Amino acid sequence: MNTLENSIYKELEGKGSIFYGWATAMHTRIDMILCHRDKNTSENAAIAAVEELKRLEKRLNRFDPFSDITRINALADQEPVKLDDEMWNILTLATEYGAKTNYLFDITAGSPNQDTPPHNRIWLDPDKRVILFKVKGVEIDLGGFAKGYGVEMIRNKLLAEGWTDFLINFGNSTICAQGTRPGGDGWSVGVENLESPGSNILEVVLRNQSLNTSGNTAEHSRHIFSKGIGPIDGIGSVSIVSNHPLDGEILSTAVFGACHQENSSLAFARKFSGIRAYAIKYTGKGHSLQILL
Amino acid sequence: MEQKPISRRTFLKDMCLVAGSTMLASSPWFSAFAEEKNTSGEKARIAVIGPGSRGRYHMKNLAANPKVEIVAICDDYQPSIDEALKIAPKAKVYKDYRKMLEDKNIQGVVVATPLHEHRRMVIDSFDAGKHVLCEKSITKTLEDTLAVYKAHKACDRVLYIGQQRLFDPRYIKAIEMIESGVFGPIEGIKTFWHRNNDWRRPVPSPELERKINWRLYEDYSLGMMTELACHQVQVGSWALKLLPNTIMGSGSITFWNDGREVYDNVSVLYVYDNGLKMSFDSIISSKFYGLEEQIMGNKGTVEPEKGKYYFESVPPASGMMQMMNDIEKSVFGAIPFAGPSWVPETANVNKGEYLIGEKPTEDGSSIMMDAFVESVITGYQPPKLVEEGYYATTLSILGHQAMKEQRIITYPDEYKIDYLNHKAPAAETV
Repeated sequence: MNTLENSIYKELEGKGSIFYGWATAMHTRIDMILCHRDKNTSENAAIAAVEELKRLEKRLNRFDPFSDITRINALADQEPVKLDDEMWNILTLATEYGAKTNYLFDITAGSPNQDTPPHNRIWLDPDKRVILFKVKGVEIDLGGFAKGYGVEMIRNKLLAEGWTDFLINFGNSTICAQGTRPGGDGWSVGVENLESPGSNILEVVLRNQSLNTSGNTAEHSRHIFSKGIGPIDGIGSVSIVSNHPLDGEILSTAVFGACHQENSSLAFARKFSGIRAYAIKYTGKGHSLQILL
Repeated sequence: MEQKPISRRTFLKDMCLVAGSTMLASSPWFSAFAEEKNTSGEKARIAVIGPGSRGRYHMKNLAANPKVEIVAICDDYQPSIDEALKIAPKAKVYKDYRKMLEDKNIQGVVVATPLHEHRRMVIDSFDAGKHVLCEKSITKTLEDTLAVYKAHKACDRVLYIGQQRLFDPRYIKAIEMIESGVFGPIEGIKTFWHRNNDWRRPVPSPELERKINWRLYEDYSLGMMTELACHQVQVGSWALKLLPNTIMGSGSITFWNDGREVYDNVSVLYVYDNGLKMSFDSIISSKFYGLEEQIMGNKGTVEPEKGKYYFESVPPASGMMQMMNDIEKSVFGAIPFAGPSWVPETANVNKGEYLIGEKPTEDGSSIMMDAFVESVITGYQPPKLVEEGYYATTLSILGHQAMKEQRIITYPDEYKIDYLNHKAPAAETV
């Protein structure tokens, strides 16, 4: 099967061109609109992006028995596991985000063993570039990290190649908008009302920004873990506007978790630059929208 | 999401926004509207020959167009005249169409009579200097159809054939998408039109049976082929940009054995030189499957009658498609697609996507009539329109012939015209 499911290319009169390609990766879909280059160049860029995501998925998917993360989860509580540069960067970055969010974002949140505090569960040795689990029963899950990381990588590559205007929508929950849509000023995106599909609860104009959303739907809930609580119930979501898709990815999970903590503070989120945060709650009799930051 | 009906004017406005782009390439007859601005305030004076049920339907569309004056109607059946006068009370009434054609005031003629009348009525109209919209099928024989085509080519008058799918927003969008390659190569077309009724109209007196139920008798019609298949097989040339050269089929009367002469149960297969096939099936004693043209591509299938398309695997995201369309048409607005993660479980059932954002309530007939009115005023003949109609008719006739003669038919060279992969015979080039 082709890397891309399919694509559409349109020449716009006096406004350049748009290319739309889509595919599946990381158990969701990726939709990309790339502007103002010819069809082949656009298609090749989209294919390269999807291939990058699929490559990362092979490394980071804990459900894949042959992935690097599966190997680490299986071995690192017994012996130090050597990491290559990329895996070292990913795991140090992910643990740094844990510290920055008071472990509201925590790649070990779903571990069966919750007795040890998150910052004491894994050890990354900077000299030997190895990882070791300090306690038994730790499991790393990069589910809340990989999509944002993947989009960050794609964005950086496209920028390095000189692309100025594009939109990457990874599963609706990670939307990275660069430059502007043709004939406009930025990219207008709406957070959809789950009770009234096709209508918006929140509208934002993104320009060199990302919109990340984490939350529960009626069909898909209890998949986000929060410190001391475990899987979070209820229908609702948090959307973050940020300058970096990875920041947004981490913060959408962390802020969603914080909203479910007693006496929670969002001070940690304010340390990130250019952040806006919104919370949507569905009550069964409608919804509420709260501007958090 | 609730689908709202699309109005004719809204659709035309929408199309103007993208005019000059891909739509005119795939549906060049829309160039008829290019002169629209110049014709405002002008009137097309139009006459209708045969204001039966279809004729009156056209009259209603004409009456709704401020650029039209229905100046005359012609029929030899008084109940049709009485009904037609309710739509156009000021129209002059004629029983003889030749007398009507003498009226210099008439610029355009709509021919909506039984098929055996079309040839002389259309050609006489050309000879009288009138523009013509002729209901499909053009005629019921290859010879008559070619004669009409040649007469049109030899004069400077406009000819439209009543193939309204060519003006139907769903079909236009479908063809645009097919041409974009988004469905992959088209691998076949299945057309069918099933009904469950006797296809009869009430007859006030037995001697009027053939006059009123003319569709059931071979002197006037080839039944489902000229009345139904003609609409559907036309989609083949539009979608594939090819014409078939081999035709086979089987027809019979299996249920409505009531004295009719035309089949009530038909299957016809059109085979293209590259091996592709288009089928037409019609059973008028079972209606569950209704009517459709299933245009089947390697990456997706489109069903323009339903107004939907389906991808073989992961479809485009509807929000993203909306964004693409908005960008193309310079429409601004926040598209609702952000939210918690899309997971495959939410997309297990392939319900398809609508071809156009709003569900249309019309089948292209009124837009076709508007286009004809523009052409009557401007004298502009839109390209390819007659050729599409010509092949819709001849392929329907050949389908009937294949069933009747129980043999595989090769498209006869003498009835080919210069269109797509067909070339008119050298000596007969028209």
